[in-house]
Amino acid sequence: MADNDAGHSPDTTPQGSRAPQGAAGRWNERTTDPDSDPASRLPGRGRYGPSAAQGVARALRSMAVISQADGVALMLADGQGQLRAVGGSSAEGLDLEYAQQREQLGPAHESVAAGRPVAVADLRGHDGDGYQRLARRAAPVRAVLAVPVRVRGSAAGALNFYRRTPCHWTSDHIAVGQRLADTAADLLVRLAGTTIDHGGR
Amino acid sequence: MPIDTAALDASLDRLRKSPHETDVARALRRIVDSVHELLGYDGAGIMLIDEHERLLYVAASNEAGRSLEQAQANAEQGPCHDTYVQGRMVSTKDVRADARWPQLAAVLDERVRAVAGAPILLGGSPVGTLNVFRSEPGEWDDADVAALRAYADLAGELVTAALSSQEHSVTAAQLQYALDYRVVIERAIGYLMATHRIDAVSAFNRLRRQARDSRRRVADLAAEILDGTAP
Repeated sequence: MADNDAGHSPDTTPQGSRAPQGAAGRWNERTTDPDSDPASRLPGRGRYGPSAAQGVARALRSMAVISQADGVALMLADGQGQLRAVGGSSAEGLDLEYAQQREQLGPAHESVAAGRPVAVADLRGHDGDGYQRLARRAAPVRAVLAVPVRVRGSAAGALNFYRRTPCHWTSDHIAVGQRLADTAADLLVRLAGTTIDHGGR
Repeated sequence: MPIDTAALDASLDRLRKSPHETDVARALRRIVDSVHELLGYDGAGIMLIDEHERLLYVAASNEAGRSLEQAQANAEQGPCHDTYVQGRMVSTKDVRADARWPQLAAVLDERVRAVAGAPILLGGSPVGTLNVFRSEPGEWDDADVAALRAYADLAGELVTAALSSQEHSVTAAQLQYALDYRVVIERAIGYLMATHRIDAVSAFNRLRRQARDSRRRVADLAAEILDGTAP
């Protein structure tokens, strides 16, 4: 499989690609402070019940094994269209997503804005002040491959594959990422259809 | 568990408003395509159990792989069959020469040689298998096993979510049956193992054959065995 095609090409340069700020900006207008509700990390408090959170957690761990990355993490758009950190196959994955949410930039935002995979070989080597802060917050994560999660053709979020060492993401990595992003979408729409617990909160 | 449930809820609320396809079989087919293309085997498939405790394909990457279904049904033995009954990974470097399934070679497509299967679990019990094969004999290494198990786990998450969302499809109904009756069937298999001093696969085959011969559902016969009313 070729690395690039005209409409769906990841930037696999060490710096990755930068989406136009105007396009990315719609994801950046409002973010939640990740520290405002520490209990939100606890399982079983969601309206969709503990099984939804556990299902996402298990799926991310399976995806980490399949992709042979150090981990996989997920950001999804909320009701206002803002990308929020949802989870990771490990704590450092969720921290990577919180870092992107806090800085309002990163591979996930670029991937969703551009509608294609975005590969960053080393967060520390990426141009821009924002990325330097992101690299510090996301440590020990160094390399990130973000792939859009599409639901009915629209990007609902991004799946992030990451490594603790700099990494050149290959066409094979990207192919695996796109397949797993499709499965993530299949899982999420079904979790979204589960019965909501209105009485527990 | 590194999940932000508040953010997950907000995202699922948004997705809830978006209509989507309602047949989990399509999603399972995408997993089979993914396994087939990415792991580089000669074929892959997912089989789920039906109310007669038969493993039936919901997705197969090609006809050679599809022969695994009919061949194992005819022979009442095989690696996928064992994967389901035992609820664990089963593999063989050459299914045609494996002494565990002597009846299989005669009815199986010649292109199917090395086979591996991983159970698909629903609520901790097997409801089907994800299986792969190669056309040449060969060992399955740790990476193969880990990837296959991880894909089977993903398939398990999908079918679990499909049932939780009360999906209306043939596949979902099939899975609901498996979920509802798996416990009684497992208990009946255990009873037959202890009573007749046979292994799980033999007990499973005995139960299934007796149900077929008496034109009853396996789950109904299993219940009768356990309450002592079976003939």
